Amino acid sequence: MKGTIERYLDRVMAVADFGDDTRSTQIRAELRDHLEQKVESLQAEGYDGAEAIVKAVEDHGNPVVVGYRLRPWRMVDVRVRGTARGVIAIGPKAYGVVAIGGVAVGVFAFGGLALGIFSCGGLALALLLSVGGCAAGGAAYGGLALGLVAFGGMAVGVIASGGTAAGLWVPGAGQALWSHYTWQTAPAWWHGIGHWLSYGSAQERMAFFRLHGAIGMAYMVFLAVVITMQAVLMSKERERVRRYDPTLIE
Amino acid sequence: MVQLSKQSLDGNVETIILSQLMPGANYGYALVREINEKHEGLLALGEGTIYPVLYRMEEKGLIESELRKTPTGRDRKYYRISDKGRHALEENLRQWEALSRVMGKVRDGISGRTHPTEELA
Repeated sequence: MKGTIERYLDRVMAVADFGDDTRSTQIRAELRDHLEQKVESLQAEGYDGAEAIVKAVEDHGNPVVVGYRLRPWRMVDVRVRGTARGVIAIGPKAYGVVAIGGVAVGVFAFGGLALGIFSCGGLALALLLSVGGCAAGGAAYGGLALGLVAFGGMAVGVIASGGTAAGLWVPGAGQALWSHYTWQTAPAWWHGIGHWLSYGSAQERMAFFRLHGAIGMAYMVFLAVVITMQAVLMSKERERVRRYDPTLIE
Repeated sequence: MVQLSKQSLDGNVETIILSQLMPGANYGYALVREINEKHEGLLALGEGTIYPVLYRMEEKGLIESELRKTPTGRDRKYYRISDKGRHALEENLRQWEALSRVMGKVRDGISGRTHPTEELA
């Protein structure tokens, strides 16, 4: 009886990962007490010893689910399954000030689907700045960019610039798919930037490509750092959990 | 009996636990047993998932805990509702009653309306 219950508790506590041993011991004792009472109750209902233990453990829940729910709040939360929550959150799903994951929601969000104030990702939605394959937000930069200010292969916005652009103001009218107003009527603050994007001369065109090339390169380097950091931290977490029980990773 | 959705239940687990603790202090396993009897499906992800909720409620000051000795000499953690928890429970129930009245009016409005095809008949 002890063996199965203790193995189950090992798995729960491995995933919960309490830094504090006293707290961990208290919680483990409470869960053990619960399981032992459940076994006694099941035996009173007619289950034999082994069956009662298996059922008690099953009814207690998946150790990964129970463990992650028990996990205390932490500054940096790295998870290999479920949703990470922390100032820095890394996991398949992540919520945090800095969130990195398949689905990331945060002030700074990086992921396949990233939602935040500043977002980078395959599909990035942001209040202020989004950068990604498909980016939407206040300022959007990406393959497909939608925003108040949009730059991209295909850009749609109040002010839009790109291979194909549509908006109220589009610099380089010859390149524009659709521009509601002439470029000369664009807000004054935009003219300084727009000047670079208007493709007016060969020099300006070169400057345009240099600017966008530099932004693109910086984005790629930044993303590579973020992805590497995510991979290293998740690998460490996977290894930590695997040490307790390899089946927790399956 | 209508099976409540997980979303409906998730937001109200704390209220249900507080109501379970109103008659007096109780421990985890007994709470789970009572909840399973009265609110089937609430702990669908496992009985163990009640503990993170209890610890969260304790941190919020909605419940308090103390260790008591069992007849066999083991320590067992008992939870009891705090004053803050009592206020929270009353407030939650008031909210539910208000919402229930609103939804009741919505339901009455729908069932009182005549369908156009019925008028033609």
